[in-house]
Amino acid sequence: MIEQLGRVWSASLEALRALGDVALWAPLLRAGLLLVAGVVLARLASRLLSRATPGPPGHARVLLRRAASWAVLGVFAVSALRELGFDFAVVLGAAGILTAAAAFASQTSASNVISGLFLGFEGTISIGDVITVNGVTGEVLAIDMLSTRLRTFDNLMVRIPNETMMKADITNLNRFPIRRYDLRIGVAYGSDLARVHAVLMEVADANPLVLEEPAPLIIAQGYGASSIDLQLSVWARKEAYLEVRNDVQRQVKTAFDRAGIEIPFPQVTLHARESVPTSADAATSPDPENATEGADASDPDAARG
Amino acid sequence: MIAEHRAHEWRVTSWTGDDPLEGTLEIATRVDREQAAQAGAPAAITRRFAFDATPASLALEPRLADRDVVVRPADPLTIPAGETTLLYVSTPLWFSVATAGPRHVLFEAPFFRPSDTWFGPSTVEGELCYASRTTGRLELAELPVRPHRAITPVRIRNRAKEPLALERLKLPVGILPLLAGPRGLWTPQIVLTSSEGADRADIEVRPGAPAEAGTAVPVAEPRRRPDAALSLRTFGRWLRLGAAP
Repeated sequence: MIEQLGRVWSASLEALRALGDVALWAPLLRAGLLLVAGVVLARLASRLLSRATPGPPGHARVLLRRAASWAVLGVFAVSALRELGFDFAVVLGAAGILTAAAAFASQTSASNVISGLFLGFEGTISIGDVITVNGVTGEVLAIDMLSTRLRTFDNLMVRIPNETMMKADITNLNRFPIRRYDLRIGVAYGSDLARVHAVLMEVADANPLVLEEPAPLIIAQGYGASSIDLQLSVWARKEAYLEVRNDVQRQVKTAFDRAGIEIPFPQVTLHARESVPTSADAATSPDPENATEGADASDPDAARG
Repeated sequence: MIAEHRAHEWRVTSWTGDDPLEGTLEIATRVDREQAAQAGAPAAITRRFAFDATPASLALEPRLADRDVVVRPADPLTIPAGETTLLYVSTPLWFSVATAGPRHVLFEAPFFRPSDTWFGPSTVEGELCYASRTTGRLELAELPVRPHRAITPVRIRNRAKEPLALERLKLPVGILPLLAGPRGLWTPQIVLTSSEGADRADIEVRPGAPAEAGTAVPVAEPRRRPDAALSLRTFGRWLRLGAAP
């Protein structure tokens, strides 16, 4: 027992002597200081770039800030490792093999990273835009290294890999300052089309959010099964698009009701043909009215009208 | 607009008229509850402003529109090469509601909300403006007098070798002060010089009240400062936009 205590005491003394050796501590201290300085300077570089390029946080700006931050941090991390005695000549020698191995292991990730860079350079979308990708519509929250994050209007976050973004059709809904809203509407065949045009144009003129130029437009879409189909196209600034869409639909319905213009719904006209009851029918059914209805209902020609 | 003075707040209910071409504007200093109820149009907006000690009075001040205004002549107008013409146009007014001493602008609203419009060669390039419901006139007497609109005399000089077909004109009301005189509300005269037959024109704002306005005095400052050498896309002569289905 006393021997064991003696050994522990000796080991502790050895450790304390080693701790007191400045030659061992100095590189560790220098490496730590370099890392701390790197983190501070990387943040400083990011902030300086942010101030130097004022405006909304676009993708290119975010990318630039991150690149500067990572570059500064990388330089300081390498310096810190050198202080600890890492030989980078060996690391560089092994880099070829490592790169090949990493390339196989991270094909998808690399593709996403490169796609993200191309998305940034292309400038199709930027942070804050409202886009539709693969049927998902939302506001772009971030374009990261591997993925793009969207916030849908029901407040869900959707992560889309950048590779998918590159391959998909992207619709940017607020790229341009004005948008067109198309209202497709059918009117009854008996309607006075000149009157219909006048009423639609009055609705467009009366709404101050509908742009006067480009002028509202009415396009004849053709003769439908139950209605004459028209399209009213009005322009609005992008911020007012939803309001114009709601207003115009409501106002067109109100104006049509007031003007007595019918918006027909799909209709099928049935012509009932009167048939003479046979002696057999009369025998099975004492009620001649019921017998006639039964014959009509089973007659496919009558049903077709 | 109805303003109610309360112990710690001003409660202001405002609404805009339906007909921008209406020729009257009524201002009453006292209204009863019944009138106030009738005035409660569906589009009425009530705003409340809280104070520690509520200022005793509110000031109602006219302002020019907060965007440029696009005006059309009554019929397409052509100015031959080297000619000059004077056009009178009227633009919609806003009103600002402010407290006196200390002065706080509480809000601004139009008397009648003008339609939005787009002024530019394409649906991608251009500028959002207001559309003036009235047309520019060559004779001042032909311009209907409306208390909720300001008149601007616009002198157009065509220094180009080609005739200038004037289909629409963008009036930079943001750089103009508003003047009040015995003949209503005016702005200084502006001179547009078209030198290359392009859509751009050099703009000069003549200081002081125009002769037609009589002894008018400024009642509102310009919303923005004009650039030293002002050249703006002013004449819109492009064709119909976005006609494709």
